[in-house]
Amino acid sequence: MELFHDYIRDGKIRLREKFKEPTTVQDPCNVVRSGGLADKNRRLAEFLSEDFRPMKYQGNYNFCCGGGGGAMPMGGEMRKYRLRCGKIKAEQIRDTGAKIVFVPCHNCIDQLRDLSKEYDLGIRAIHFKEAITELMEIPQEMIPEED
Amino acid sequence: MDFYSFLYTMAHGPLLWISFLTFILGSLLRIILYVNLSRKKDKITHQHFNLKYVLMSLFRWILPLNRTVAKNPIFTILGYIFHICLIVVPIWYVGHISLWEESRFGWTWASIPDEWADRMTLVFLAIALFFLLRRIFSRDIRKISTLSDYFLLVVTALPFMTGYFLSHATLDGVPFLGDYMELIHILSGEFMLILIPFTKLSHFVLFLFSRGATAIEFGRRGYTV
Amino acid sequence: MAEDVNSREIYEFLKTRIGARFRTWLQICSHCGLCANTCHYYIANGNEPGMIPSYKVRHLLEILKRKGRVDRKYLETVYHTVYHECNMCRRCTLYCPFGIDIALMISLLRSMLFSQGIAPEGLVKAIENYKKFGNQMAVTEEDWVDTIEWCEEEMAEELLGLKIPIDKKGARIMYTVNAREPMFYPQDIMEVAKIFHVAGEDWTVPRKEGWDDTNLAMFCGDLKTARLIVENTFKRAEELEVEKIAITE
Ligand code: HEM
Ligand code: SF4
Ligand code: SF4
Repeated sequence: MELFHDYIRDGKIRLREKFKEPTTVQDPCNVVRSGGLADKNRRLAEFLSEDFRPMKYQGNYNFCCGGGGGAMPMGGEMRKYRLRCGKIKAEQIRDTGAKIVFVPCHNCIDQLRDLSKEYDLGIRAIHFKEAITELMEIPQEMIPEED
Repeated sequence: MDFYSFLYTMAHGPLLWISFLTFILGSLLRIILYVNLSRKKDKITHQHFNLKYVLMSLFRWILPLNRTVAKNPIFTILGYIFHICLIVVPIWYVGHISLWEESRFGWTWASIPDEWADRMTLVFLAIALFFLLRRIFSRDIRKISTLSDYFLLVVTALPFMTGYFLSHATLDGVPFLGDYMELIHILSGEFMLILIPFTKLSHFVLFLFSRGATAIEFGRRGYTV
Repeated sequence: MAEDVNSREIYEFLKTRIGARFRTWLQICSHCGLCANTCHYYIANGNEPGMIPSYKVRHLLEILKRKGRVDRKYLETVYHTVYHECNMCRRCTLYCPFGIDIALMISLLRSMLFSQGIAPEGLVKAIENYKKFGNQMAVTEEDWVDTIEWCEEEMAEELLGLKIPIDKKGARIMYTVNAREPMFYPQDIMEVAKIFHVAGEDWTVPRKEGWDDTNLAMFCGDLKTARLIVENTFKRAEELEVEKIAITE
């Protein structure tokens, strides 16, 4: 994620366009609170969007999605608890009105997709890499010729 | 010499010494034990030691500049006032200073006006009462409170209450209490001093280390908590 | 629950790991409750007092007080608290006036449970996979390399000249993934390959174990395996003489 941020900042990757829909970004605990990447996380999200809407408590003080600390891979036994406590995250997202949520964490993204179903958020939760591949400009010489 | 005058002499002499020494040496001991143990077991803290983050964190928390104040303004502001009164009144109350002046040390320093001391004491007691009621009636706080939490709150408030009674002769008509208020006041103060190093009240100094350790823990990730 | 617990072991286990921070935290927590409304479990369960962070670590004090003499039943309660009521997200830590790190204490309780053979099934399975295959999903080295090559072929159709260099010595970046990617989300690998390619990055992925950057052992307090996993990754990085390790995300 840090790398991607630097690529775009340094112009190594250029974007064709930005997301027009409202977006927001999740702050995964391991990347942000315990990883120290709060600013880059947010800035990368801003690079990619025209209408970026921060969550309340965006950054180091953000809420956990509820899938952290091994909760996702624990599987079925944890499902009930994790969906319930994820309500907070679901409400945070709903409050921003975002349609696209960037989620730089495998764990969070599975949780957020579950939350979107459970709480009917109608969001698209995507990784930054997915977003960047969708938006980036591909240099002419790399595009294969159609035959 | 009857029992009470004996107690009185003790409270003014040896017990006073004992309590102050216990407080000072006990607190020092707590610091030494902390540093010692943390050298052995909290290697992370020492590997990543960074004074900048420690100081910035303490600065944010000794002054009300942190997120918790914004989140729970009423309780935290009351908490700050509580502690300010708690520290200021006993140290700068003119009656206490004159005792120091008469003592073998002969120390003296500026005092706060009597009426300030009065008001601060009342404010302090009101907040202490609020904390107590909160402990009793708030579903949350009751759940996490232990016996010692109630006990220590009373221990902390008692010297202030008796000090107020003493200086205003409030209960002078009451048998026993009226006669021995000074004794009760001194003993309660000494009791509190003795308990500080060995209970959660030791937070007055261990707070620095606890915050410091956590400040380093997050400081190595590049931000101040 | 016929199985008994080894009280002495529990007590010793905790005692050797309780440093100055833990000890101080347990003692100075003034039970002020400021951490309550910082925890998503507490709020989402209708401000349930039993979910106050400070309350969750009462077990640690209790076990120490009883010198480890607790029964299975009690440990089950602890299990419920430390696994079903906390994500170890550390939000409460940022709001506590003393900076008391509840998550670290929860983590200590988890390792204590692990030492007594109590851990969530899902995580235990993953740990076995780490030990055997070097990743959490039991992907073999062959499958891993196959997946990478397959991704490369797929992508080369879209982007000319795209390569996923395996074990390239002296690359600037060694890229590691979540083991779920080769199993379920190969498109994630392709996307990254695309980005690296367009950005002209000098990168590589390791062939041998160490390419899985998740560490589920950490979550259930199996510190030995956790260390092994980290060492694997760093060993690969050293072998390949890369400048940096990049993890997925
Ligand atoms: C300068 C150092 C001190 C600091 C930084 C400090 C900090 C705190 C904090 C953060 C709390 C919890 C939140 C709150 O109730 O507002 C607290 C509570 C408390 N402190 Fe202190 N404190 C200090 C000195 C003292 C001293 C010297 C005493 C008394 C002997 C004391 C007595 C108490 C009591 C009784 C409570 C509990 C209040 C309750 O029941 O909710 N503090 N302190
Ligand atoms: S905020 Fe800190 S001191 Fe207060 S109850 Fe929570 S853990 Fe204890
Ligand atoms: S670390 Fe645990 S107790 Fe603290 S806020 Fe996160 S989930 Fe709640």
